[in-house]
Amino acid sequence: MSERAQDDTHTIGWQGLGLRVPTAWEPQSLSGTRSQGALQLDDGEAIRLRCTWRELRRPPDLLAEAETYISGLEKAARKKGIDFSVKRDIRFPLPGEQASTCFLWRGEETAYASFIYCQECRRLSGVYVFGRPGQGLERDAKQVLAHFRCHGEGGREDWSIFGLRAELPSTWELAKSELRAGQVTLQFLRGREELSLSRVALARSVLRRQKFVRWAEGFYRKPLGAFRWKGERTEYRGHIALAIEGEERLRGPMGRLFGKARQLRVRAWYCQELDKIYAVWYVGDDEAGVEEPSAQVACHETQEEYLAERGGEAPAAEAAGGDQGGAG
Amino acid sequence: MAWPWRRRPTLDRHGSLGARPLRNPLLEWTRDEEGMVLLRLPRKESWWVRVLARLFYVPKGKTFSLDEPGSFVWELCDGRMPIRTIIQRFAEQFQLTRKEAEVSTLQYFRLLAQKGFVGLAVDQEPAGGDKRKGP
Repeated sequence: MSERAQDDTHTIGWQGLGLRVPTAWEPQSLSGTRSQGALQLDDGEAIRLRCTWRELRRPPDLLAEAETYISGLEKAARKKGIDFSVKRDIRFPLPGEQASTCFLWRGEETAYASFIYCQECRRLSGVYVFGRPGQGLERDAKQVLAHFRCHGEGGREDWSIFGLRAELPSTWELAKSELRAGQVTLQFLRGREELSLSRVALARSVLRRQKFVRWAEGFYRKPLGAFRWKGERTEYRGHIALAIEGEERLRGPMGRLFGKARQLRVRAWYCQELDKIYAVWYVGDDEAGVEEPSAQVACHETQEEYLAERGGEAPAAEAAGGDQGGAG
Repeated sequence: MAWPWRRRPTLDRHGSLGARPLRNPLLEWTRDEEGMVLLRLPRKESWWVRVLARLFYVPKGKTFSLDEPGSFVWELCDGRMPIRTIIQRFAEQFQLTRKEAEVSTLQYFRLLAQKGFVGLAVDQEPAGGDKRKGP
């Protein structure tokens, strides 16, 4: 699980990248895949950080990359008749051994930009921190770059956006992400396996007028139609929880003859402390496939805190016991 | 060429966040025993409704019940507080991130405005702000 952020900062985890930024900075746009993409954070008023990445076959010439970028900026500034200046060779400490180059430009915007190449993930990342000089721009840039991570450790990646945080094996590929009113969802694919992590806000209000099972039925209405399932109330990590088990309905005569039905496992729990519902949807061949991702989703306590509090007892084992509890 | 009709004003993000929602004064609203807001929308008194009401039973109005977050936001729609502040209060009250609160609140206001339950008070542009060309 990722390091817990200090009071005034939080971690954004996306496609293996990890950025520790002030709490007010939140994603404005997220796009791309692990091999190429971009994200932008704003503070409610203006863009404060942009990060781009792309996979390269061979190590790039970082200085040449920076010069190409600078000349593009210069050209754009000249067209608009704006004064442009650049300060090269800025040294900000980075957490790893990555090759990097950093510069500051003042033109239409003022920003620190850093190009970082990592030999391990073979990605060239561009980190641009925007702001106004004298208003903590240098401090922000230093802090962002000091905690910048371009890949996870031990084959795992930290995903963290809008309060939904989970550490997953890097074999899971993001298929879709969604921020809707009161709901954040990340959907992943791995072969014929599907995984979906959701965080639903205003849970007290949501559960006031309906049972947990009914909520889940409504929440997963469309995908549940493809399964035979049953759900029961249980307990998970000390929270009121719901477990759904099912099997895929095979369609068509060929499917029934030759197809292999996938298992459905859903775990959802209501974290009263945060007033959120966390839901993990797993479809695949592994009957215990939901256990590990669920254990990695952080709610009001991190996994480390959870294990420390329970004397090292694994949450998966407790959840399995909870499944035998009363039906809801 | 100038349009013969007035174009509906549009708001950008900055303008939307600065707008101050105001409850429709024609709506009656109360609270139920749980503290949730109940909105009462009076029946339209057009001639055909009056005719129908003589023949059949037509209720005198519709009642809408708001949930806890909806009630919280409704109370803040006093025409003085900008949406930006409402979002901030909403995020604090319901432990949401700024973006989460913004998405939910703006969607909610869109719905309320479509139904005519709230109007948005927007500061007028400074004098000379009209960019329409003269004759």
